[in-house]
Amino acid sequence: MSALELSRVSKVYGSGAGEVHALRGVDLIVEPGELVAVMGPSGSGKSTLLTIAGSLEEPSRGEVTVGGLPLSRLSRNEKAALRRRAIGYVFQDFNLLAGLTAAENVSLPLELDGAPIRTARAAALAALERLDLAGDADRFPDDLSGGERQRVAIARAVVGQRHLLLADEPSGALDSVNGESVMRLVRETCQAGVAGVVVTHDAQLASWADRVVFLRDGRIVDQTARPDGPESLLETGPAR
Amino acid sequence: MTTTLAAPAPAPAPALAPSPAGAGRRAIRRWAWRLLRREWRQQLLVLALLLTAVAATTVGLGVVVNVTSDDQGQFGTATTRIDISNPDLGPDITAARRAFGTVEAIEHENVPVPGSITPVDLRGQSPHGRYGAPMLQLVSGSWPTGAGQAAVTASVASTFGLKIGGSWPVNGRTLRVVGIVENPKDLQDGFGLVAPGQIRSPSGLTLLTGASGTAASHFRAPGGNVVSIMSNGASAAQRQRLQALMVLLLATIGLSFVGLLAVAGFTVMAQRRLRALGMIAAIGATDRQVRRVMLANGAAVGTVGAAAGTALGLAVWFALRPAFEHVVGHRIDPLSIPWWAVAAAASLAILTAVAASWWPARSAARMPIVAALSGRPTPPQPAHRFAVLGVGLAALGFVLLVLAHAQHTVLIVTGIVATTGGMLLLAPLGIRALAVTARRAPVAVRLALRDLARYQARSGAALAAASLAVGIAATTAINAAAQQAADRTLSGGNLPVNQLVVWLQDPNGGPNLHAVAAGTSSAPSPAVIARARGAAESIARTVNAHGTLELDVAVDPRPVPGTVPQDHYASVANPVSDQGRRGFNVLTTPYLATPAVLDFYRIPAARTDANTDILTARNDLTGMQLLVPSENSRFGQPALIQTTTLLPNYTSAPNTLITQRAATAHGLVPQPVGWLLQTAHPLTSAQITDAQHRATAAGIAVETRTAPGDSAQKLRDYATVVGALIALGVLAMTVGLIRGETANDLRTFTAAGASSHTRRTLTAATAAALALLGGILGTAGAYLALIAWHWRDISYLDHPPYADLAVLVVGLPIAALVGGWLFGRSPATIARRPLE
Repeated sequence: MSALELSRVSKVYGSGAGEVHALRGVDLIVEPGELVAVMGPSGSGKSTLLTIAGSLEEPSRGEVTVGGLPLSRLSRNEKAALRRRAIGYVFQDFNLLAGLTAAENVSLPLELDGAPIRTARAAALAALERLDLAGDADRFPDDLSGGERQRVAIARAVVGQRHLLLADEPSGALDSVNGESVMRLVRETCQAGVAGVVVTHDAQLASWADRVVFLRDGRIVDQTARPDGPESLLETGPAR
Repeated sequence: MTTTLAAPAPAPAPALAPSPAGAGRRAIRRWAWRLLRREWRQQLLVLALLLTAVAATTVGLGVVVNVTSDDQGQFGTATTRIDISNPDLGPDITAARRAFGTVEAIEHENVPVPGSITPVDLRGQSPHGRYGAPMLQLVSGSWPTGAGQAAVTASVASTFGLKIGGSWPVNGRTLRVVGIVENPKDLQDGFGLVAPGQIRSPSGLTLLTGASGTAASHFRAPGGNVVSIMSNGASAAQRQRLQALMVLLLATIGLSFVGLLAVAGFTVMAQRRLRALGMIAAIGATDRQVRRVMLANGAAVGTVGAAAGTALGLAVWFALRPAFEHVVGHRIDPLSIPWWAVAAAASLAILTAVAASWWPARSAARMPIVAALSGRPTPPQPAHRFAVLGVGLAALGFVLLVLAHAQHTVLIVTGIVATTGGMLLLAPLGIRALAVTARRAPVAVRLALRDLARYQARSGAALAAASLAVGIAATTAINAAAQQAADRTLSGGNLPVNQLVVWLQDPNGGPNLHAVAAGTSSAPSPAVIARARGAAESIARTVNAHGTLELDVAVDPRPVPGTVPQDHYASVANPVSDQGRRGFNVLTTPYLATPAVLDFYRIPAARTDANTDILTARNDLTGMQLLVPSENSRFGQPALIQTTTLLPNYTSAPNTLITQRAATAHGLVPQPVGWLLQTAHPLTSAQITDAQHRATAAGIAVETRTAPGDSAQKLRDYATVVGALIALGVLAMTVGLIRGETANDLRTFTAAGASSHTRRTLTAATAAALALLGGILGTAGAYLALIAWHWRDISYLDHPPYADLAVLVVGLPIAALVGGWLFGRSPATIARRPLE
């Protein structure tokens, strides 16, 4: 069962003369543990693809399946439950709530899902620890650096039992060192069995992905296998 | 670092079972509370609005309940009060006790005041009387207990120059002043107090009893004449009903106001948090949870605002109480406020805040997540949908108010809420209409009006709040003007606070205004008139009056056997018939419409019909006759009477004039009876006392205002000013919010080369447009509600207060325009808006 499957997905904004085709019959399958990078020029439909995959928007045509569940058959509340439990979303500008601490931001999806506060906090602390942020659990986002904030956002996206990690320019607001670090974390997360889709402009960052999909004018125009990057030299086992 | 990648296990299908009921509430409440704590500055505006509205409602409740005296100033705790003139104390009191059982007697003796036409009442009353105790309070010194002792009120002490320990010569005897007293239920009540049984020349007797008015109506005093029997029961019940209604109305309007402001505030908050709300939706919050974020915030803000507002309101009430006592003329127990209503207002304020946050919460929850994440406001809904509903609600409110007959509280409250809701829903239509007219306006004005339409959710709610403030002011002003017009014969009292009449002889002397004068059996001689005129001019100089206006009456010089000079005045009279004999009931003696009098009241000759006999401010003289003593056998046609609002509506001022033409036609001649003096400011006690002394020396008397100030006129003016100020405050806040939210547009505007002048125009146009719409909507709403309220007699509203309405409809936009221009600075540049 694929973690994510887009079948003939199209998205049209506006109507009549103002009609804009953001996606045109896109097919994409992402398997568990696979990291896919989506590249393309501005307006090519990258972010739209991600928001449709994350059930934040509905396609005009086509079908999206997450973990075998067709989104078109789900109610708004079921989609929300899917986002709480199965889909993690990382935004370019972090989107952390300034009023909550790092741990509270991370535990938010679990708490919204009804998890007891102690359980949710324990899970959040574990996620933060994995990202080397355990010491910052009780700090507020305003007190964290950009790289730390994005790591908190990633922790929030992976906390609990997630199947799919969607990241929209996760390193867009970061310098190159922090950008690399974030991609490494995304990569490691996927190696633990989570399917990942990352939208990026940066070819070097895309090289962390197993596969790179090129979009232009709402269509997939090309896709490549993961190029051998510097990390491959570190791998000793059967990488793929 | 060496990393070994394990082969990923296939992920199981996600479970979509619903979360437990109430899941995430704690996290949402925590976030809402943290938001309030961390970002109180951003929410200060909404908090301030709530706090102000709750505080104003709390103070208003105290004012409403205490503005009218509870009649204890006249009745004490008695049910019935019987007043007897020229009593025979012993037999009258004995007869009353025989008739009613327990009776408290208050004896009265008139003490002449030199230079004044109003005597002081000396009372023989026990401060511990069965019924009258609440009518007396010792301010300082001690109660008079025996013969030769007296206590006086502060005003009487001032009039006679008395102090504790001093002597007071009264009607041939001397009393020692032992205390200063007051009637706490009627601070205007000036009197002297002696122990019961110490009145020597009783001019009146008051009997207080617990008997019903019906039982007392058959009472006959063996000694004196019963002049009035008043019962307190009915009026007390009526007053309580009125107070309850006023409290209810105030609470309803106050909370509607709070609600409208809160809707505007929470709409702004929702817009500010749009990205944050989009984010929590993106990580899996349900629509209900997104709504709860805003609702929890509303509850938190409402609770803090209600608590702080109540505390502030009570503090203001306690601080203002002493000043308020002098305004309403009676002492007020600071704790005599409707606590249940205060608690209800605070509770309802919280509910109102929650309810007000519901609509923005609903909108935010329904918004597409991607649009929310990008922070784009949803396109405004078509205004005509709201307008249809608004017209429907306004019509419903109108019908409910008509059906309420000013009595049925449920219908009244529902009617007001429906009318307010109608205004809220009609506001977007007005904003849209204004935006359409902006097409050819300069770019700053065009942008201002389009922004109003673009952010119509918040500007609509704020406009409704401003309209409500204007509506309250307009309602009060229109109603007060109508009341003034309806009561034109009596409403003003005897004189304005800045006028004084030096009487040679009062032609319309009533019970408190008796002629003092020069002549007793003959007309005053030229020498007497000259001396009085000199005294009047002397008084005018000492009180800094703008000269003296001579008041003449028209006198019939032809002899009429068996009459005194006062009977020679031409008068306006009502022909009456009694057992076949016809006579006249004299209503008033008109003053002569001399050029000086017409000029004083700015009555142009063109405004007077050439055939008019009588000019009057009264509306109860229509159809009456001009009675000339030597012609009194003629029952002719009614006089030609022309009413005018230019003449004063005070009983002792020249409210009715006989024209020169009519006087000449009837062979009448002028005779001076007094001089009217007008000062720039209200007369002080010292000025009045000085005038009385000078009048005494000249053998004449002065008359000044005897009642508190011109309440109806003041109420109109205060309501207009306060309403305009509140509306301006709401507008300032709203414009600040709207312009703050469009700071990025403004930055672009500036980058494109807009000058400071253009940016100021932008703010000024926003403020003026909202003010104009608020003035029009508020005034229209006020008329709608008043027409419904007075549906059975719409002519009651025939006297619009043009000046007050002009202030609201024209002055308010101008003030907003000027204010917007002066304070329309550019907001600080916003580089990146944080996620709240």
